[in-house]
Amino acid sequence: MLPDIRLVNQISVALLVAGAIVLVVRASVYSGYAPSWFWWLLSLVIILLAVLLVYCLFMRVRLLAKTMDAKKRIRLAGSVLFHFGILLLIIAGFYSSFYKFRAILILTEGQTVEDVRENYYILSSGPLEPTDFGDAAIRLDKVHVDFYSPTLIEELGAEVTVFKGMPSSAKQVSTSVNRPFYYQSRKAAIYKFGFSPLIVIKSSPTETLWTGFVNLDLVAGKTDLFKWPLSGELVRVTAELADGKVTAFSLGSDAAGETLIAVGGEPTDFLGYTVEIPEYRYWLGFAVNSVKGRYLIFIGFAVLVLGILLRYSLVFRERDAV
Amino acid sequence: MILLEKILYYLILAGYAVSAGALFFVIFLRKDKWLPVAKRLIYGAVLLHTLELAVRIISTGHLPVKGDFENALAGTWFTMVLVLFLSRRWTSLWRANIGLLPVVLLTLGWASQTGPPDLDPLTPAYNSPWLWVHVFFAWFGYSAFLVAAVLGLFYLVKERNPQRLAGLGDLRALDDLAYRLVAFGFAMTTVMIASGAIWANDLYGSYWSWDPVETWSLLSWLVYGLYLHLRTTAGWQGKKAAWLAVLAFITVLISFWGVNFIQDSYHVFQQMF
Repeated sequence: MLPDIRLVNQISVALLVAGAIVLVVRASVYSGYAPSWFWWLLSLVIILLAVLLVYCLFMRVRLLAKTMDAKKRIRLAGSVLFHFGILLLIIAGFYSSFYKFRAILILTEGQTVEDVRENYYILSSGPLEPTDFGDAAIRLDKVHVDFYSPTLIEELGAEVTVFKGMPSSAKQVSTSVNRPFYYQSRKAAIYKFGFSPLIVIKSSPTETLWTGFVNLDLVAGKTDLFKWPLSGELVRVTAELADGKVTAFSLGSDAAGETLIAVGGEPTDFLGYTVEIPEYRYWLGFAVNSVKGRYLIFIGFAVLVLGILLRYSLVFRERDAV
Repeated sequence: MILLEKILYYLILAGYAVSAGALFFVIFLRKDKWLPVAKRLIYGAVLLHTLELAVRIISTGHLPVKGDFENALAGTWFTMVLVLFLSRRWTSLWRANIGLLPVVLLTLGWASQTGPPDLDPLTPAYNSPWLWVHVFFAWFGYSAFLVAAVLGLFYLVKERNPQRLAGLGDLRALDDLAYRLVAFGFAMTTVMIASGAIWANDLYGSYWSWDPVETWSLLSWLVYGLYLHLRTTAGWQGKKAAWLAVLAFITVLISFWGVNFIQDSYHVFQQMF
């Protein structure tokens, strides 16, 4: 025996109110980070909503089959599509969460990394996330950046080479902000950008103690911290730009004060050592995620929008909508 | 802000303020002969508003989507255009401008106080065709919700004292139009959220990041969904629906203006790179 439709309507209102309360809690109390119980509660509300949606869809489809009035049929069809769209999005959400892989991959210009988990800063991953994609590597060939002013970027893009197995399979792709590239069932979008000065620390003009590119977040006049490799002291770094190029980096610490080191300039004393910055490169942080469930999400959105337009198209046009 | 923009901006404020004054005479002092004057003044102010937007778009070279000033300028323009469009059929809506114009004036005035708008280009984060879809539907959706909230407020006032707010139409007409506007706004915000999620996936690699602005937008969508659901299944019309239309608008206010108070929101694209 099917439950009374009034009861179903009351349950659906209760679930919508519960969903609204959960969202208020997420947007206010836990706006930055939500504890695990919150996710369980949210999942419970969504699962109950999905069960209710299946039931309501079943009822509406039965009603649609019986209805003869053309206007009512359009409304019902719209309603069915709208609710089916929500159901598809819920299914897509759960499906993609099981196969989820969200990570940041940081690459300096010219750097090649193998596509293995150790090279990613993993933000989250699902229990069924595929880990074995075979041999692959990614190289960041060139970063294109146009500065409108020292603190404002107008264009940002890059050339990337993806290797799959044999070097002969290398494929070069152009990417830019909002235009991600795809590889190994993953998608990579430019997410972060910064300068990477080559820092050379010497004890004498001929004896080099340490050298390496240091990825720093210095765009838009920001200051970043760099752990001095010889003592572990935190060093403040800022960049000085002119005509879209970094002309100098300023290194500072509480002990040594601020020191300006020109790019490609003379060695400069800092913290008791001789420091040089012969060149700098750009680095990019790519937001990498799994593309599993992508089409289901697109279809869900399309059905949802189509359904709502169909459901209310008559309301917009009718002389008396009440 | 260039000089022409500044002149137009103050003319718009003056136009809307004088229009509101003329409508005050019509509604509260029952001077109906002022209505044609108010209509012409509103048309004139909206024309100036359109010019102001055009100057802004030409001088910056991009859609007015950056910062409080541009968002307020575009958001209020969409509201007024929507009202003018609807007024052709629902003539009583002309008088409803008495409730909308103060909101438009406050929005424009507040936006100009938050700092001078610059002519800088948009950062690469904005460089997506989805931006057009997302903001266009957001402006129309939120404008519809604003007008629905104002009509809901009028409904509640008239329901208590039917003699007040003469000429705004009967209660049934107010309820009917508010419902249509909520349905329209709901459809618009559905497209806004869907396009925003697809854009976010290209930009951050994630459809949904639980960003406070995202969450509040989803909440307002859910609350307006509740309005439509209750209306269809539980017969919520009239007073109950009017209260809901007014209260639901609080969520829109938070999601639209709340971003100004949240520094770590993904919606502050200008700081992304």
